[in-house]
Amino acid sequence: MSTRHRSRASERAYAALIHLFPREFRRDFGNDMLEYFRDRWHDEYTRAGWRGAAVLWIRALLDVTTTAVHEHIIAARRMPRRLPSTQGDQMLQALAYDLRFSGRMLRRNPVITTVAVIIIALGTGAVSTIFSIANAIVLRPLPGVQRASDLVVVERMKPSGGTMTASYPYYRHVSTNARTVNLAAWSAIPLTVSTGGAAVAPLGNIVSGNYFDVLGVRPVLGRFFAGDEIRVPDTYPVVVIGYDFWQRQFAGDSAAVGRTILVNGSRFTIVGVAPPHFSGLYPVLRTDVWAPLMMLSQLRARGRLNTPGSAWLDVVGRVAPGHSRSEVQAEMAALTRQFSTSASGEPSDWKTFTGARLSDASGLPPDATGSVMGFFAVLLVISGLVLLIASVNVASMLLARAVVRRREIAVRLALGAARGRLIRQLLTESVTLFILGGAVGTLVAVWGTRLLERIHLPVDLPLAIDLTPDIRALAFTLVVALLTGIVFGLAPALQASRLDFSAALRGDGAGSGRSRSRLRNALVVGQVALSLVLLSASGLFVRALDRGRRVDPGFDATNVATTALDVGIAGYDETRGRAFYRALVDRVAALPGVTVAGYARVLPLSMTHSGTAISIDGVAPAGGRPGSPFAVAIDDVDEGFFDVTRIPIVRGRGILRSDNANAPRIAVVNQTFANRYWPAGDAVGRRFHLDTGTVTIVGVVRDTKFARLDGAPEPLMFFPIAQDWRANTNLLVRTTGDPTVVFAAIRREMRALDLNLPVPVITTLQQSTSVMLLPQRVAVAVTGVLGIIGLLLAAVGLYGVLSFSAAQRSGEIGIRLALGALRRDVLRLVVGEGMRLVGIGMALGLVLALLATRALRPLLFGISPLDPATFAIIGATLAGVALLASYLPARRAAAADPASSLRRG
Amino acid sequence: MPTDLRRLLPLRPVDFLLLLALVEHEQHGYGLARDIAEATDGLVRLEPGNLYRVIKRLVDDGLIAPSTRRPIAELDDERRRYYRLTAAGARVAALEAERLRGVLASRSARALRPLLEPT
Repeated sequence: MSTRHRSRASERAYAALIHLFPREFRRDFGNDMLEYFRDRWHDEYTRAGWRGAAVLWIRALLDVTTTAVHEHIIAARRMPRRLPSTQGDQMLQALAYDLRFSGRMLRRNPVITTVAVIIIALGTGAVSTIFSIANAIVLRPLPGVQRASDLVVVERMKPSGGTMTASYPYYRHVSTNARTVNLAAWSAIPLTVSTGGAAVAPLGNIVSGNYFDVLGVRPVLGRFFAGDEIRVPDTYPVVVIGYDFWQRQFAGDSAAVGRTILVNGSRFTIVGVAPPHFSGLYPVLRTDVWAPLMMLSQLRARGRLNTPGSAWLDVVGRVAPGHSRSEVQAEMAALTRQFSTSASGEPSDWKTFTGARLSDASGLPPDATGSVMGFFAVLLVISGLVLLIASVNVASMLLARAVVRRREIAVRLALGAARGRLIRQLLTESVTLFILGGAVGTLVAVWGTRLLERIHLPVDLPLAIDLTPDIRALAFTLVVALLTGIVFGLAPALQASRLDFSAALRGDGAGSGRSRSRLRNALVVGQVALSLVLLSASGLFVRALDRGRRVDPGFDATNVATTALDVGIAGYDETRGRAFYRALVDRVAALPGVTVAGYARVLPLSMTHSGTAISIDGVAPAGGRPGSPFAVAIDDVDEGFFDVTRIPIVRGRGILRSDNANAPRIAVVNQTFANRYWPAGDAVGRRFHLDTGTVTIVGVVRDTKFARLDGAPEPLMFFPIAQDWRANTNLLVRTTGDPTVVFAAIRREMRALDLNLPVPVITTLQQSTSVMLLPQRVAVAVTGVLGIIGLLLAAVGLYGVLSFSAAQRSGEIGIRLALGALRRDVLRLVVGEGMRLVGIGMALGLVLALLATRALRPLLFGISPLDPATFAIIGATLAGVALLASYLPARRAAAADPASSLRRG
Repeated sequence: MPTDLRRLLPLRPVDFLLLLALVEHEQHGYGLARDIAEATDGLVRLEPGNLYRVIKRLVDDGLIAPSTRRPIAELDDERRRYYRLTAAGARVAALEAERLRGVLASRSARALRPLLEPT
């Protein structure tokens, strides 16, 4: 199925390529060619998978470009009878000639061509790998959605910034009154689905009736929600299933529509199948089931649609024809203000969200889009450096070759070739080289994305990142290759054509231009500078990752198994749920190898947060009056939590089993909380207000890292989980040894309690907290590989330039040796020349790196972007590699037989 | 007429291969490419652009023509255009075959044969 989509992307790209042919040819054979390509693609893909498809593409690219040029020539030859020859025809003929000549030149030097193609492929491959991933995650328009550019995400916003999701009453208010936009609402909801076999736990969306309409999605089978299904609560248990789910669970059987399945314990009828690749508003998560909002109470225990105090919906809208975004913005702001002043029953601090924020439907939550894009921008720039180094490398190879070819060029100039024509010929050669490199680079990118896909993401979500390169990624690589080919081919071409040809014809090597060797030297300096920048970025990331790993979180994450549980999705009510959790923790704690077990609603350092508003008599929050409410981060934990995580209680007591729903409400706070509001150190016994009740602080625990790894600890409080029933929680289990050993036993205990619960995903606390370091881990992996490639390329470049200049100077070196210079002197001469260039390059690179690495600061955990240790190590490495790269040609020059080199010189 | 067709000789190898592929039955583009690859042990692989360039040339010379007949319905895929050999095409292919036979029968060609025999 996804194969079909990929082939469709390939076909579209091929159909675009066919436009290179003359119109007549296209009209006669365009469709047939496409048919051929489609069949062939299918065969190749079936035979050899992605590799086959990629090889086919390279062949097809070469085939289309060459045959299209030929057809144009044939068409142009026929023209003159009817039309006078146009300038365009002549240009095409010239291009065809240049291409043929370039092909010949490239074939004549297979080694140089191959090396250059490989180098360019590494550079373009690096860039297009990163681009493919960014494309899959943020850049690609929402798959399966029509005209995603007309969609807007609407959030309620405070004038001071900060947004919130929508409650159903808010959504009703804005959607029924909006005139400039058609608004739909949706929310992700974890589900347990049984289609007859074992239960599965897919991600679902619960959506308003017009959701599919607003997104412009059509069912591939059956229908979407309609009529009373979208108006009458709790009456029509219907669902739409995703295409993948249909294939997986029903093998694509059309009889699936009309079947009844068990969703969160209730019977639902499948009415339709969504189109392939449609996965809701966040396509990086695989959404398998859609249910109407009206069925909320059957899907989520205690879910009441009209509760004003529950904001759980995301709002997305399609701008109505004839209206602009600014009109939508104005209308949404007005409607939100109206709602905030009139609605009743809302928590009072929600009333301050009086504005509206519009953002693009980018495929990620609006607040994440910016930072994700920023992260990819950093990676893209870093991979761009590799491409730059590679291009510089190839440019100096071209330059060296231009020297070798100066006789040929001189002959052509002497025979009256126009300089412009010559430049165009040389440019065609370098562009052809870069396009070939770009084509191989796409293969490198396919391999590179595979490699990056292997980075394990410690998140408990059905990720479905589609990394197959699409036209956008292919076009990007092609354009990058074309531009670099022009930019880096231009300097050598200009140099080569500006030639003192009387000297060149005489075969006088010495006179071949000081400016040329200056350019070559500049290229080496540039390469060294760029690799220093690249290496220092990866060095800083390595240091940051190391620092991040060493941060003491304040709790002990080793030897703890953990799993997220939610009995609400299996239809448990509060009584059954409490009994289940009680029984489970007792059974698990009694397992051999387990010392203690407990619950926490939010795991520390898991990138999830929970908070509430409290007020303390006489305490003024920042910017407020004494006694006014303020927000604080909270967690709900049981009596086992502090033992499992080994967070010490420094004053008072922890949470006890007796702190249940019938006991007075209590809380345990961390040191930062206690010290901030009761600096005298007497927090225990104090009270604060929460909702309508009063809570007593009974203990103080040591500070831990909770929401973030860096920065000072934030105030945090823990409530007894038993005093606020919810169906979801996390089980934490401390073991005497390797926690993975007890995974199976935990699953067994769950099954013993209830066979109908989905099999839980169990992991370790260390793994789940490692999500905090994910950006650094990705950055180290990417910049590490790129840094090594960059270093190697720079070394190869330096080696090439020094070998070449030593060969050019073999006459001079021969004279020196003949006049009694020692080999040591020659070594020093050549190595000295190389190291002088490296020195200049490193100085330049240091300046660039100091400027560039500042952009990395947010990812560095407080490591200074100017970290001297990093720069010292990187500098030494680079200097060492450079020394080796210049020693080898120096040794060869010094070992030369002066007599023979003099004769040749 | 025959003298006129002789002007097309010698045929380019790929033109000849394509005409041969159409001798027994009509065929569509991809089918032709596959048949030719098979007939030459994979030595001649025609990519779409190149294939249709050849087809265009042969159509222009009147040696092959798009077919109006269709094969049996269930084997058919209506999107595809089939090609057939024209009378002139069959004649040219025959002339080329005759010419090649002559080449093979020449003394020099026979003299080369022992080079390939196992020693």
